[in-house]
Amino acid sequence: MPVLPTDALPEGTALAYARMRERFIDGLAGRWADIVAAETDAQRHFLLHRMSGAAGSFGCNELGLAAGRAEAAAEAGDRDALALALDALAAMIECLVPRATTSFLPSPQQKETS
Amino acid sequence: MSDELRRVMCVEDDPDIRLILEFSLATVGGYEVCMCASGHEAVFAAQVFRPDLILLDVMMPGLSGPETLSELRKLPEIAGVPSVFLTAKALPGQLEDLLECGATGVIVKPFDSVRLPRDIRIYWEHGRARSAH
Repeated sequence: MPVLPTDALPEGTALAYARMRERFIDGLAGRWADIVAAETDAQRHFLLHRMSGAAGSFGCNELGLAAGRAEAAAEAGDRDALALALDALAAMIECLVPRATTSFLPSPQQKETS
Repeated sequence: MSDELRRVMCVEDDPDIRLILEFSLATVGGYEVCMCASGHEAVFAAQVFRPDLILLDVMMPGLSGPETLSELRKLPEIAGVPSVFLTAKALPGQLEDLLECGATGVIVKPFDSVRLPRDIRIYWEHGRARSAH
């Protein structure tokens, strides 16, 4: 799947693309918070589907694949696989986003036990 | 049906994807673009915007992509407009189901912003050729 080649962009558009990518990454903590706060499996599946679809178009291919694995586990109703996939996804988001914006967020498992 | 692909309507609920679609199709591709955040918005806007091609996300809250396309097809001025689905699901059976909804093509997310304007033109030409027969 494509990582957007910024050198392939028309002249003068690379900065606009970089800003959009930055906006997407800035929004990841909010997307993760929504996934954690999802009240139903269907909601969580939908939010993972959205992240999976969006990430690669912003050059975040590994994140998109991780979200896709979580989406597949959610769709299959495999809770163990989902927990593992969400842990991996959270770790990947923490690598992309400044720790201060994500470290306070509970994992879905913490939410269920609290 | 118009002789040139100029106006593209996009129906996508994710604001980040709408942004990059607009970047790809308007800034890179040079098309006139109408962005809609929901199927209901698209049904309303299509009658004014009169798109040459419609690009629809599949999984959306409210009206899904296939449901939106079905509603758009009821509008006489939109009925023959080529349409393309955007989906993060790429399983063969699912792609066939989407084409059976009457779409000209399916583009799988993530998409390449540089290539997308060319890809939709190919689907538009294919849709025109199909409706001419």
